[in-house]
Amino acid sequence: MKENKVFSAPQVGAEYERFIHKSGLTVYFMKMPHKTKKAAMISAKFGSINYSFTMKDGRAVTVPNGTAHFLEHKLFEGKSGNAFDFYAKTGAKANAYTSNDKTAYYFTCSDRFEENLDVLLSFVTHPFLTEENVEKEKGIIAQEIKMYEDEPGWQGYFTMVQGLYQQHPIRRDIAGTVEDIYSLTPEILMDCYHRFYHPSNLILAVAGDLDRKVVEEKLDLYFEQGEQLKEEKLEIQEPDQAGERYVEKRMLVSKPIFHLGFKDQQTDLIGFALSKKEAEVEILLEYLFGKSSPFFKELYEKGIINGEFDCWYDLSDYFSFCVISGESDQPKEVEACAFRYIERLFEEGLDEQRFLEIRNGLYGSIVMELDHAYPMVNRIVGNFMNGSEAIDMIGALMEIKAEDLIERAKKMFDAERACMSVINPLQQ
Amino acid sequence: MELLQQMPCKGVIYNYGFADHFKTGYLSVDFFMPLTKENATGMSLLAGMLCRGCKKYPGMDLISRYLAKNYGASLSVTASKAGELEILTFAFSFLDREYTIDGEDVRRAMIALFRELVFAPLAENGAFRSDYMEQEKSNLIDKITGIFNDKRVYALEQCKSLMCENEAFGIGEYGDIELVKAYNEKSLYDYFRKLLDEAWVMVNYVGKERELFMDALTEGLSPRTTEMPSTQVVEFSGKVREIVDPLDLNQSKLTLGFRLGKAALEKPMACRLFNVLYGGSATSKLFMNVRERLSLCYYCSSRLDRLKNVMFVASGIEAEKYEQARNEIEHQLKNVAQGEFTQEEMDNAKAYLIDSFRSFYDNESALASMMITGTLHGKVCLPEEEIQAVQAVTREDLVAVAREVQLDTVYFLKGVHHEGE
Repeated sequence: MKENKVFSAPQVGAEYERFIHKSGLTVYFMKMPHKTKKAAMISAKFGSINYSFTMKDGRAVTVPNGTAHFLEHKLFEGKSGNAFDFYAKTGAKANAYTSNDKTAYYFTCSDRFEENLDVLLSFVTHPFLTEENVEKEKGIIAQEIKMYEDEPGWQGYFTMVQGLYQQHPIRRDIAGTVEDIYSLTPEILMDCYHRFYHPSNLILAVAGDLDRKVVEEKLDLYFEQGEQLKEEKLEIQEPDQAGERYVEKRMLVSKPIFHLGFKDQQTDLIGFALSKKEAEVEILLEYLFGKSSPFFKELYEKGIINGEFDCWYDLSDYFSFCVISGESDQPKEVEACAFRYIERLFEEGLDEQRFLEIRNGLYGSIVMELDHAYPMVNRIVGNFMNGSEAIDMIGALMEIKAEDLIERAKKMFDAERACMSVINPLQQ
Repeated sequence: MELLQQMPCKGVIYNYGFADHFKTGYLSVDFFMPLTKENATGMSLLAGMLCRGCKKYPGMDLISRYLAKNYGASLSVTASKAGELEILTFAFSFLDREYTIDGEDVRRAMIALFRELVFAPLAENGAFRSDYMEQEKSNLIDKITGIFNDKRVYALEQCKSLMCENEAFGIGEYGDIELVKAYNEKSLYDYFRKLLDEAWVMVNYVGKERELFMDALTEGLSPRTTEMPSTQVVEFSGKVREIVDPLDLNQSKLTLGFRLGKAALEKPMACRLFNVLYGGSATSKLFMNVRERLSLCYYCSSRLDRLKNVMFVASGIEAEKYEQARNEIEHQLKNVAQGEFTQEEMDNAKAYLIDSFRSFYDNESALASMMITGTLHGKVCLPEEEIQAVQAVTREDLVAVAREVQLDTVYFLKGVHHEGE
């Protein structure tokens, strides 16, 4: 095992190790003493944004939307049956998801971890795609697509993303359309598999009351030493400005649902700097729009928003944007009010007391997360994909100064880089 | 882990779950009333009103700041239903003092907050603040009408309310819009006083502290004069109802409501295992057949309400596949009732349930709800005792449960496309 490195946050009693297997696979191991639950996640850096690429033999390939997601479904199938049948013997709970920039497969269990790890690794490393089983999956995924087509929350979010970005591949639908997936063949899927599932494009994260040896011993069984393929970073051209300032759709909803997105100006950070940015943005979001903010209080008390309200930060090494979302009959007023409070922050500076409270709160919630196996492997994988370390959030949080936040807010919140999407009620 | 249950006076129950392996603590206070429109509406309104502020922290922002200061502790105040009970829950989750920077005991800060919210609310002269009252009424109406936005939830709620339209179970957990409108700041306050006098109360803690501290939360509550509300189990009427609702959707939602029988009540663990085997897991009969074999859907699963002794199956399908999907769902039930499942399928279902129980040890809120539901069902068990009960279930038990399951109501939210849109 190469490049063994330990990352720790002793003040909160948490640490994990990272090493690289001879195959090029990156492995994270987090020991969680006295925990019953164990979790493992393996993830490929292959998401909906990777739609056009070159194969090893020089062939240029462009795949339909929804390909990474379709492959995710198919890797649950093997020569000897469905992965769920194997997990079922131990009672493990398994699942997978595909996002813009990755495909992740995982399980949680309380017992017989080794057997489950075998299932996870063997299915992800042994694709079994036939005309018949690819055809069979189309009906299932078509229903998944239609389910999302009727979900106003997802539609509102995605409409906003498409308004915010002009050329970025994040505009591409993760699951694709029904037509997209009906055009898929085993050959296209296998091209993607060969291109993106080589060990040096994969990461495995394990957490629980386990022995690291157990994990190490498995790796040689599934991953061979081979050519190290270095993934090139995607070249993405994206103008600074939002493509649209306002977009809308009509659906069967009881009240308009809004998503206000803010596109970040800066997307070139990695490592500790990226963790620090993440912590800064999380603090800013709570400071400006969270339940403790004057913005929330004003709109809630005026009846412009209700309890269905949330704000969050989406980031990777390819994109970075904030979202505030809720229900309102006056989305334009929500937006105007958001910018009033952003302006006020620039004019009056930061309330130091509130900043410290929010930082304390964030610290507590990260410590709580560090105590649970599944959220931890998920965070480790997510951060790794962005080029940062999960545990850095604690150190980064403590380094943040009030003036950093003002600078960050200027890069993040600008009317030219904002887009409001509204799902309006359809008249029945 | 150790459990301790106390009943300091009639209708007030303390559940302690002492466990040393958490970095966090979990504390909840639950108020129980019979599920009626009045209670569901009143408790849902109170869930909104009581977290708007109290005399000491007269605003949501101030409460949020207090929580943030206390290491990002979380508070949720919710109204929900289980069987024919309506439950108002105050739930706190917080860092254990071993991990706070200066060793502060956040648990005490949460006890203090609960006391302020419930015993010193924002009220004067026997009435809540009228401006907050109007806002919370409007928010609750949004919440009730907003059930429609998630068609999966909407279809399930429609099925429940149609199947049990003459039973309390048919009442929605957030209550009734007309009753929301009828409440005012005075009548809700009167209702709140009545709730504090009448509702059964459970206080639940999971965490490291060994101190018996719950008197500090319930001080001022007198013994209850009524019994813990119960749920009426109703037998199948003998006639299956079918309701089709057309709506402009891409996907149709098929929901089936079933009544369980006596065996399910007599053998509760067999009933839970039956649900896992039939439709409650990714290797269940429904998942493997309706989804994997026939490719009819992305999801098809079953869930129980154990107090009410009913089960619901929900799936999202193409409108024209209605017959095929419904037949397969019923056919798989018949298979289980006829004992047509392998030893392996039964072992897998057991492994699934055992893993779930074991995983409770890492989840404070799951342990707390285990203590609460255990109390409601008459016996609180540790996960390992539940596991023994799972292991003891036989093939005959499963068949006995499945044979008595009766389809009662089919609710089909049928996706249709309106021309010109």
